[in-house]
Amino acid sequence: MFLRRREFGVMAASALAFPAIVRAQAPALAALHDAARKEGELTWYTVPQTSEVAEKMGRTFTARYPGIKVNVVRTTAQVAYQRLNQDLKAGTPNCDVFTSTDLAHYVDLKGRNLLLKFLPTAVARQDKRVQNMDPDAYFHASSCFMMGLVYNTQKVSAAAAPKSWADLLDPKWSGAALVAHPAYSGAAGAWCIEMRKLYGDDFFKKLAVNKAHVSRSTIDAVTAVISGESSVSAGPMSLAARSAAKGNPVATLVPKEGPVLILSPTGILANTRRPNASRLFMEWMLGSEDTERISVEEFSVPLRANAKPAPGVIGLGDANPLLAPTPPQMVAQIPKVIDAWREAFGV
Amino acid sequence: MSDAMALHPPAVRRVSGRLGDPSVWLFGALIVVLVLLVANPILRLVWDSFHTADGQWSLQSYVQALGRGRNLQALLNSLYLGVAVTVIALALGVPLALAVSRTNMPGRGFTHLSVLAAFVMPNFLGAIAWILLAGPNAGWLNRLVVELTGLQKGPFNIFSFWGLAFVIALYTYPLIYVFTKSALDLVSTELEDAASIHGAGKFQTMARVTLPLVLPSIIGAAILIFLEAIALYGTPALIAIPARINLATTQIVSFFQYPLQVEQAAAFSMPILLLTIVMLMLQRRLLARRGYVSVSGKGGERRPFDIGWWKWLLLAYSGLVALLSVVMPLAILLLASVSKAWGKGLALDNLTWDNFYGIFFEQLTVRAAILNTVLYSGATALVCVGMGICIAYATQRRITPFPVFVQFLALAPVAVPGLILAIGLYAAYAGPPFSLYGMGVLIVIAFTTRFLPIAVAASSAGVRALNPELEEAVRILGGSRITVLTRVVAPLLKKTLLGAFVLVFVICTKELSTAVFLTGPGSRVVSVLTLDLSEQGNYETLAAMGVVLVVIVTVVVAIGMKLAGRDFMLRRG
Amino acid sequence: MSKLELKDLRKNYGSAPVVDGVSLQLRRGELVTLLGPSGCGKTTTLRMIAGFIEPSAGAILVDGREVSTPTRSVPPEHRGMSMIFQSYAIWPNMTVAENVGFGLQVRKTPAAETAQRVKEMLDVVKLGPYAQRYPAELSGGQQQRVALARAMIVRPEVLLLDEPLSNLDANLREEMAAEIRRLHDEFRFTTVYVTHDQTEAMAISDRIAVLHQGRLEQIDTPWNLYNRPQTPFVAGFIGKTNLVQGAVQGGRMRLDGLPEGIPLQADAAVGDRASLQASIRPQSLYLGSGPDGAVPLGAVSVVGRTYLGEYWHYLVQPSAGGAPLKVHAAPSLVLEVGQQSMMYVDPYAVAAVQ
Repeated sequence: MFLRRREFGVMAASALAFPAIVRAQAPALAALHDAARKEGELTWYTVPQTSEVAEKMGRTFTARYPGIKVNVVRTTAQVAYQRLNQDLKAGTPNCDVFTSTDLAHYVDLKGRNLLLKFLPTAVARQDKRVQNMDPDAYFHASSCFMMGLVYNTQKVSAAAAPKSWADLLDPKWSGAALVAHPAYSGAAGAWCIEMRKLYGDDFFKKLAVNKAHVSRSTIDAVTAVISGESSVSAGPMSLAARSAAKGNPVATLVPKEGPVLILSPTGILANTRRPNASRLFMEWMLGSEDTERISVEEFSVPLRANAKPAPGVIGLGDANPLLAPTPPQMVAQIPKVIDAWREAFGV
Repeated sequence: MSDAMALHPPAVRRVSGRLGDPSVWLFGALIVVLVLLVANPILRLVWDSFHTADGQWSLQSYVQALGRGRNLQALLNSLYLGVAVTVIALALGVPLALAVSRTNMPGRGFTHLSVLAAFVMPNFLGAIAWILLAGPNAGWLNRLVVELTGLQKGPFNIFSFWGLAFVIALYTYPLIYVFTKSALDLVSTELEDAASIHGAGKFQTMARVTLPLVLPSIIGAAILIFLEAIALYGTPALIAIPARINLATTQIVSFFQYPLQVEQAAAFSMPILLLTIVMLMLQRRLLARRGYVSVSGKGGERRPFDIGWWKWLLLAYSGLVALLSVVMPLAILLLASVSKAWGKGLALDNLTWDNFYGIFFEQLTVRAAILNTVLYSGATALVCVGMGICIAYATQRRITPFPVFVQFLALAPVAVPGLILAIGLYAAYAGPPFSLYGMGVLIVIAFTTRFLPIAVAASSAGVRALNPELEEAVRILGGSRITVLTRVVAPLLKKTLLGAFVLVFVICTKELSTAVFLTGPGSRVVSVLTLDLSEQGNYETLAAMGVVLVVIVTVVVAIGMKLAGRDFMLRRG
Repeated sequence: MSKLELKDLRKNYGSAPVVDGVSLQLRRGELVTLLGPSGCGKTTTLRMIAGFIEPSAGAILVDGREVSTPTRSVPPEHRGMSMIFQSYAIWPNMTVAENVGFGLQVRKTPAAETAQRVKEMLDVVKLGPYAQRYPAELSGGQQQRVALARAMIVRPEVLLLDEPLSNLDANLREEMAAEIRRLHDEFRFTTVYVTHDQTEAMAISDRIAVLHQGRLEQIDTPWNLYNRPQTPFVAGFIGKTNLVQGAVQGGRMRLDGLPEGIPLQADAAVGDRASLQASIRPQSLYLGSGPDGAVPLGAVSVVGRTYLGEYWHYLVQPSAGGAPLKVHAAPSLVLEVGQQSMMYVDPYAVAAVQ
C-alpha cells in the first residue's frame, strides 16, 4: 500500500499520541489482564469475518495478552443466533462474546436481559455515526463494512459493469448474479431492508425471475464471483478489495443509490463464565492498534473517528448517499423481508 | 481314582434364585439404557408436537407447520426427490450387482472395490466435489466443454432437481448393490441353466429368471434408499438452496432458526415419521417372504454366467459409475485442496500446500473437528458393538423378559430420520436436567441411538448362526451368562463384531443430519464444519479437510478388510 | 436315598404333552439310558434334568433336594452337573487343554492344580499329546473324547450324555461306546445317557428306561428288557420280534393255525384267558428241527425268504392259516418258498406282553 504524505502524517501523529492514550489506560488494562488470565480462555461467536481472519484475530489477541486462549466459532448470522439460543435454552453458557451483523438480535437479547452492560473506553474514540449504537451500553459497534456491487473483471469490463442496485434486475445478468439469503446472512438482511425501502417487495420477485443465484453468506458473494460461477453480486466491498489486492480477478464499486452500511455489533453475554477476559477482549476489539491494523489490512471501514481506511476504500465520511437501516427498522423488518424473499424464491 | 472321589465328593453349589444372578441385572440395565436412548426422544418429540412452548396441549403447532402452502410443497418436493433418487440408484446398483454376482464380466474385483469406495465417501463431500465439477459457470466439466466445443455455456448444472437427485443417488446406490448382490449370491446357477436349456437367450434369462427371484430384496433396498433420500440434510443444504428447491429437511432446519420453534419442527416431522414407519413395515413383510429365493443356506452351485459381448458393455458401465462417483470427485477434491483459488483452474502458479498447513496448524477449528470426528466415531462404534452384542445375545437367547419388545426398541431408530431423531434428542437431553448440549457426549449418544440397529442386526445374525450347544456347554459347567458372552460368544463372533465396528465408524464419519443441531462450539465434527465453511465459499480448505477425512476412513477400512476379510462390510447379515 | 429322582415329570408345549408323567430313580453310580424313537421325549427329559427347560409339572430331585419344579428352577450353572452334547460343543476358539480345564477355571481352582488335573484327564482319554491343539485339527472321535474329559474332570453330581455317538461313523461308534463304558466303570459318576439306538443302549447301560410318546414303558436291565418285555412297544423296539395273539388255557398258549400250544414258563405264566399278546423272538423259532427243550408247534410253509449272510430270514405261515411269523435260521438251513416244514419254539423265550 502506498500512503500519501498527508495520510502518513496523520498516522504518525496518531501513532505518537496512541502510546499516551494507551499508557493512561495501562493500569486498568493490566489489572483486567491479570483477572482475565485466571479465566484462561473465552469463546467468541463471530460473523462478519472469514474464519481465517477471525482466527488470525484470536491469535493476535493471545499474542498481545498471553494466557488467554480465544475459541473462535465463525458462522453466518442466523446460524450463530440459532446456536446462541440453543445454548441459552439449554442453560449452557458456551458463548462469552457475541459479534454479529444483525442488529435485531441484540435488541432482542437486550430485551431478554441476556447482555452484560459494559462501556469500553474505546467507544469514546469512535466516529459519531457509529458511537451510540446502544445508549445503554449493552452492545457496541465493533466493525463495519459496506455492501456494494462486486464483479468479475475477467468476465465483465468496467464499462459493462452494473452501476446501480436496480441493474441487478437487468436481463443481461440473467443467471449470472448472486445475492445472499436474508434468512442466513445478517448483512443480506440489512441489504434486503434497504432494497425493499427503495423498490418494494417486487424487487425480490424480479430478482428471482432474473434467476439470481442464492448463497447462504455474503462472503460467498465474493468467492463465487472470483471463481467465475457468478459474474456480479451484491457483496462486502472490503472483502472484494482484499481479494483484488491478492491478485484475484474481482473489483467492486459504489452503486448509484449508495452502498449499504453493515454495522457489526458486539456484546458480552450476561451469563458468561469469563467476564474479565470478555471485557478485555471487547476493549481490544474496539480500540487496540492491533485491530485497527487488521481492519486496514482487510480493507474494512475503520470505526475510530477520523481514521483513514486503506486507499480506495470508502470511509464513513466519504459515502453519500449512505443507506443504513436503523435499529428499530432492523428489528421490525427482518422477518418481513425473509418472508418476502421466501415467497419470491421458494426457499 | 474312585477312592479319591469318595474322599473328595464334588462340591455342591449353593442354589440362588434369578435375582442373585448378576447377568439379569446387567441385561436389565441395558434395557433401561435402551429406553432412555430410543423411547425417550421419540416420545418427547411426539409430546412436543402436541404442545405449545408454554406446555399447553394444542394442535396449533400442526396448524402452523403444515398449514402453509410452502411447507406442504417442501414435503412434496422431498417425496419427488425420494422417487428420483431411488430410480437412479436402482439403475446404478442393480446392473452392477448382477454383473459382479452372476456374470463373467472381467474386473469384478475392481467393481466391487469401487462400490466400496462410493460407500465410504460422505454424501456432502461428494456434493462439494460435484459443485466444483458441474457448477453451471465455473464447474470444470462445463469449462472443459466450453473450451472444446466453443459453446457459450456448459450443459451441466448441478444446482437443479436432477443434479440434486444425481448426487444423492451416486452415494446411496451402494446399499442397492449390497442387498441385490446378497440375494443374487444365494441363487443357484441351475436355475439359469434350466432356462438356457429351454432356449432362453442370455438377456431373457437374466430378466425373466434371475431378477424376479431377487425382486423382494431389491424392493426392500429401494424403500431404504427412498427413506434415506427424504431424510438427508447436507446435500440439500449445499445444492437445493441455490437451486431454490425447498425440501422437508431444509424446512425443518428453518424452524430451528430464530425464533426457535421446536414444537413446529416436531409437528412438521410427524408425517415423515409416519411415512417411514409404514414403508419399513412394508419392507419387512417383503423381505420376510424368503421362500422366494431358493435358499438352503448353501445356494447350490454358482458358476459365472457367460453373457458374451454384453460383458464389455457392462464393464464400460461399471467404469462410468466408478468415474462419476469416485474418480472424478476425488480428483477434483485433491486438485482443489492444493489450489490457491479453485476457480483459477489448473496452473502451476495456483498450486500450494497452504491449505493443508492451514487446517493442521492455523485453523484450529478444522483440526479439532477432524479429531472430534475420529474420536466420536470411534467411541460410538465401540459402544454400539458392545451394546449390540449384549442386546443381540439377550434377545436371541431370551434372557430378558419381553425379548421381542427389547429387540423392537433396539431396531426402532431405523424408522426415525436422522434430523428428526436429532430434534427428539435435543428436546430430551440438551436442556435441564441433563444439560448435555454442546458436549461431545451428546453427539456420541445421538450417533449410538441412530446406528445401534446396525450393530444389533449384525450381532443378531451372528448369534443366530452359533450352535446354542456351545453356550449350553459353558452353563452346565458352571459359567454364568456373562461368562458365556465373554469367553465363547464374543470370541467366536470376532470377525462379525470387527466388521460392525468399522461399518459404524465409517457411517458416523459421514453423518450430518443427526449432528447439525447437537454440536456446540467445542464438539463440532467435519460434516457440520463442511457446511459452515461452504457458506464462505472456502472450497480450498474444505477440500483439504475432505481429503484428510477420506484418507483416515480409508485407512480404517483397509485395516478392517485385512482383519476381517474382503467382504466384511458389504455383506448383509 | 436315590441320587437322582424324577417324580411324575411332565412337559407340555401348548396342549401337546411331550413328557407325560415320567418317574424314575437312579442310584448313585448307576448308568441309566433313556431309550426311544425320536419324539418320545427323551431329550426333553434330559434337558429338564440339566435345567435348560423348566417342567410343566412334577419335580426333579438330586440327593433328595428339589432342583426343578414348575415354580422354582435352579439354573444349569448351579446344578453341579456335566453334559456331553450331540455336537460335542467343543469351543473352537480354545485349545484342547483350555476346553478341558474350563470347568475347573470357573470353580476358581488354582492354576497349578488345574494344569495337573487336565494333564491326568487327557491321559485317561488318551489325548495327552493333543493338549495344545485346536478342535478344528481333531477328528470326530477325538473331539468326542475332549467332550468326555471336559465333562468328567469337574466330578459332576450327574453326568448327562445327549446322543453322543450319533455323529460318528458306524465302526467308530462301537469303539467309543466301549470307551464310555470303561470310563464309567473307572469313575462311577451317576449317568443319564440318551439314545435312539438300542444296540448302543444294551451295550453300555446298567438299566434302560424305554420311553414312548412321553411315557415310561419299562425300566429294567438289558437282559430283562430283551427277554421279558412288558409292553408290546418294548418288545418290538428292542430287537426284532413276533407279536402273537392267542388263547391261554391250562398254562398253554395256543396260536391261530398252530395245533400245539406253547407251555408258558413260570415267569410268563398267566391264568386262563381268551386272548393274550406274547412276544417270541425270531431266533427262538426253529424250522425242521430244534434244540433240546424246543417244543413243536406245527407245520408251516415258507412264504418269503432273505439271505443275510449271518442267517436266513424266513417268513412262514401256519399251514392251517393264521398270522405270518418271522424266523431266523442258520445259513445252512436252506428252504424254498412254498416248502413245508415243522416249526419249533423255545418255551423259555416266550414273553407275555398282555
